[in-house]
Amino acid sequence: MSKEPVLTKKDLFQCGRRWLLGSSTFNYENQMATTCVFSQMKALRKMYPNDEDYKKSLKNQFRYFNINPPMGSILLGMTLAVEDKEGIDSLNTVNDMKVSLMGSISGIGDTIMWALIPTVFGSIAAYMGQEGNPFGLALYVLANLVIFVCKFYLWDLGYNMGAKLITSLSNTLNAVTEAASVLGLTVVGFLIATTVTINLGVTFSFGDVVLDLQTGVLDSIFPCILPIFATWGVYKLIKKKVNLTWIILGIIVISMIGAATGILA
Amino acid sequence: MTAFQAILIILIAFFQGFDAYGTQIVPSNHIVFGFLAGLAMGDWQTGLAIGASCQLMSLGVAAIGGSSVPNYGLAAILGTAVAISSNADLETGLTIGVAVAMLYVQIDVIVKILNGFIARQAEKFCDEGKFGAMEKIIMLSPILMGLSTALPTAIYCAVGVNAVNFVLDAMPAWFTGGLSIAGAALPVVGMALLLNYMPAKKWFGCVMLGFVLATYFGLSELMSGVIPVAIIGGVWAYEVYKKQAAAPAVATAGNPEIGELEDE
Repeated sequence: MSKEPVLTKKDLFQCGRRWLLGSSTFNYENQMATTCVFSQMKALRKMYPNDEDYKKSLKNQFRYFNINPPMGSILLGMTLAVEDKEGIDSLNTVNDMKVSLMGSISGIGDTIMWALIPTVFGSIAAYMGQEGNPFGLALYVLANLVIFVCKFYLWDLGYNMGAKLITSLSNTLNAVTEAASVLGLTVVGFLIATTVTINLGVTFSFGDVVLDLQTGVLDSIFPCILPIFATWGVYKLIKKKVNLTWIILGIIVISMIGAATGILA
Repeated sequence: MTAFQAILIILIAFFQGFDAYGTQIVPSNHIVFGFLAGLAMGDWQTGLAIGASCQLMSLGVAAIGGSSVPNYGLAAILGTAVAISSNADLETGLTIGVAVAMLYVQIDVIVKILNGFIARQAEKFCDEGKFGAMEKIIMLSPILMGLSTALPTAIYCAVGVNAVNFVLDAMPAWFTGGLSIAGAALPVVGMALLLNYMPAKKWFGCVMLGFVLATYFGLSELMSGVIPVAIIGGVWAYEVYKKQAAAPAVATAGNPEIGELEDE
């Protein structure tokens, strides 16, 4: 069901300002979801004057999301355009787009923001700084400020990209959602192996030979076997409606027991 | 250190704690915090030198995807304050600064756990239609992030170096070790939630494909290893899209698992 888009450049700029909360809201359940809610709540309110629809749309933004913040502006601008055009029926598409694209575009953003810029500008600033020269630092701060200002315009950029995308794909929204799920779940499989770390600390020694159970046995047969089984276990617990607080406290207690006994490392 | 200097240092630390995660005006620029702390203490050269050392220590270290790393910006602030206020050499300042930066890893995990309670409460307010309260409680998170660096700094300013060493020695190994292990393992909750929201059963093969590419094919070792995974997933997604778009009558409006989202 298509409708007339209501968001203006001003609304998108406001999203950009509120998005400055960044990953300061990071938590272990839905990660940056609260920043998603906070940044878009005014814009979504404009789209849904009706409380029930507004609530549904906010709940959709409360789902797991994690992204390199500047890249998140582009992606959320895109999904806002989709939601602005398609309304409440597009919530699954919005979520699937967010999940399927967050990994790969974060990869680009993280490489630029956390590897390229600190390595280039940071090392120049540090080597000059060690000689007492603040010029390299000034250059680094200048680069930081240029990027900071650009970040405000990324929402508008993403919105326009999303608006173009949705005009060309509007007739096949279900197919897009299904395809986005396929891409998203592939990325999730990758994320399980890279973001979840659980290692055994048990070692066996036979005379002079020391066998580390984690690096010597598990890693060589089935790397990341513990993260994938832990994910499956927590997935089942959530399906059984076990309270998330208990799951999280349980993980913390198991970790502390594991650290005390040396079973986990 | 005068009271005014102490307040300036604490404010700089508060800004650092928030900026590193939130505004990201000077993300991973640790040298600037050494410089600012030096200015506050009246000796920017020392601050610049300590900031530079922290910057070099930090190269290649970043909190990506929610991991906790030593806070080298905080190390630069405290190291500078220690070195200038106690007339110590750079190395002494750096040692204390880096020790607190390591301690910060534990604080960071605790703040992220507290953020979870804030997020849950915000969602509850949303369910009840209290959107104003929802907005207000979310704003506690950035304040917590600021306090995560401002509080250790304030403790140092109030009690001095001995307090820092005392805290470091007083914490039992199972507590600090357990928090590090929990911090590394807790993203499992987010992953499991994600699988619950998405048609994971129907497309289980996709999850395994991404997992196998990450582990057996070693793509998790690459910084942008997710990009080849996304390309392969994208090719599969395109095939699914072509098939579904060609037969719109057969394509159902999502499967039953997607429909179960409202509860919880």
